[in-house]
Amino acid sequence: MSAMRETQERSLPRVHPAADIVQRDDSYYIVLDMPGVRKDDLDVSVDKDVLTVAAETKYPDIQNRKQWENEFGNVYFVRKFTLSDAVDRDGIKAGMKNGVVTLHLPRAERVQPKKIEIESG
Amino acid sequence: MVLDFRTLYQDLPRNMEQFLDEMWHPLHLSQRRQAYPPVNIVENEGDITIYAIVPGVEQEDIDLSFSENSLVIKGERKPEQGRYFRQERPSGPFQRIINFNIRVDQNQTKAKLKDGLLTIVLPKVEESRRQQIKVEKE
Repeated sequence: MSAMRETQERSLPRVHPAADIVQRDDSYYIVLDMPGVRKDDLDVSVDKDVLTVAAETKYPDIQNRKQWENEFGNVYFVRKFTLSDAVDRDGIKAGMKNGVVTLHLPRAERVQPKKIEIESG
Repeated sequence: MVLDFRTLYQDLPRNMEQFLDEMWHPLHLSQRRQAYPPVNIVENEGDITIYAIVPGVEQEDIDLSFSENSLVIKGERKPEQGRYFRQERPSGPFQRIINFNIRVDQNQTKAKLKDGLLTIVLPKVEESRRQQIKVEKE
């Protein structure tokens, strides 16, 4: 990330996006509300055990217009999650729709429940 | 548990900064208001434009209607399917009513949805536009 971009992000308020974590069909999903974020601006990275989701919003500029109501502004969304060994790091996928980010975290093969046969002795 | 949230604490100095920021920043206070969805409303020369934040709401789940000179925004946020480990995103139906003190052209009102941002453009009716009055010389 360039120094320039870093500076811009610092000037915006940092906000933790609200997140849901659900399990569905042997996979985990992290769902985050990140309205105003364009798909191309979404930054998802995994560094060792830490999954980071970050992006800044691009709402239309209303600074120089006659404002009746002003309840939200541009923010820098950032949130980190620590991954356990149950997640297959290489299989993580991210998608975005209607201002919602969905991260698909497949379960690692080796933690799939395994039945152990008991031999009669 | 598949994920843990120690990172919330590792991030504490930054959270602290954010927390202090929120205390002093009036914008954040207004963001905490109860009404949903949050809106920005601006008046332009020929229209009133409303921006509303509705992440995760499908186009077909948004219902816009007029009641006299008020606009009613209705919709529903649907919950995720599956077994929840953590739930922070609110779900369920919502409604917000926006009153206008000037007349808008209800038939020409247009709305679009992109990246969870609903933009509604309500053209002013002719009589609501600023009229330039000529001063005649005697």
